[in-house]
Amino acid sequence: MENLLLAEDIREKIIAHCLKGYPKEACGILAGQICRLAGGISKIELAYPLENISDSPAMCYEIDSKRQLEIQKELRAKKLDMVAIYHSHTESDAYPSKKDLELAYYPDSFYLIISLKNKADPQMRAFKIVDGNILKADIIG
Amino acid sequence: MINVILNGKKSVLEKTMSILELLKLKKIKPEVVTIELNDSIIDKKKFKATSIKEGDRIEFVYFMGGGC
Repeated sequence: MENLLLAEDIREKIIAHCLKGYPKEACGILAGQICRLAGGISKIELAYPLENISDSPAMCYEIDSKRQLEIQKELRAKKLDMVAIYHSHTESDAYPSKKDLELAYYPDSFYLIISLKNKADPQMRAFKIVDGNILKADIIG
Repeated sequence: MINVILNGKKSVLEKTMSILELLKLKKIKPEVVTIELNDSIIDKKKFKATSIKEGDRIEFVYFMGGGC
């Protein structure tokens, strides 16, 4: 199992972004250092809360590709990796949906899902999605 | 042989080719990527007609989305 190190302040920033976006889904990119060794610990150091540009933002999320390109170049300059992509599920569990699986094009990155089913107690879980297979990851912090 | 920069890394292509040919070579589906060539986003409709030349900087990202 892979591990993701997430500091409390970044965790709070992500959850605050998701709650602020409710009832729309929120999304963003998390950067840091990816550990490419099996069972290693990848570390998140920086959060990019982003705008959800989906036409159906209560049901779906989409990140602007132009913004993605900017962030990709910025991370390279900072010698950081794109460690994770996060989004909220406003009514369902923190588990990849069929749509999440279909549209997962980054097998090296983690997919962090925040469930707001109970807004008073948001649930956050991390996964890798590789060739349609869901691999659970541990969030440590 | 032409030298290009692909997502920040030096890369050598065997010949001048279109963006569409490059994507086929890399086994990337054109419909799921956004391509920037020398800092300008290329319309998907122009992937076939746009040639990659010596020294070009190519940046690509995959579609990022999903939902419940």
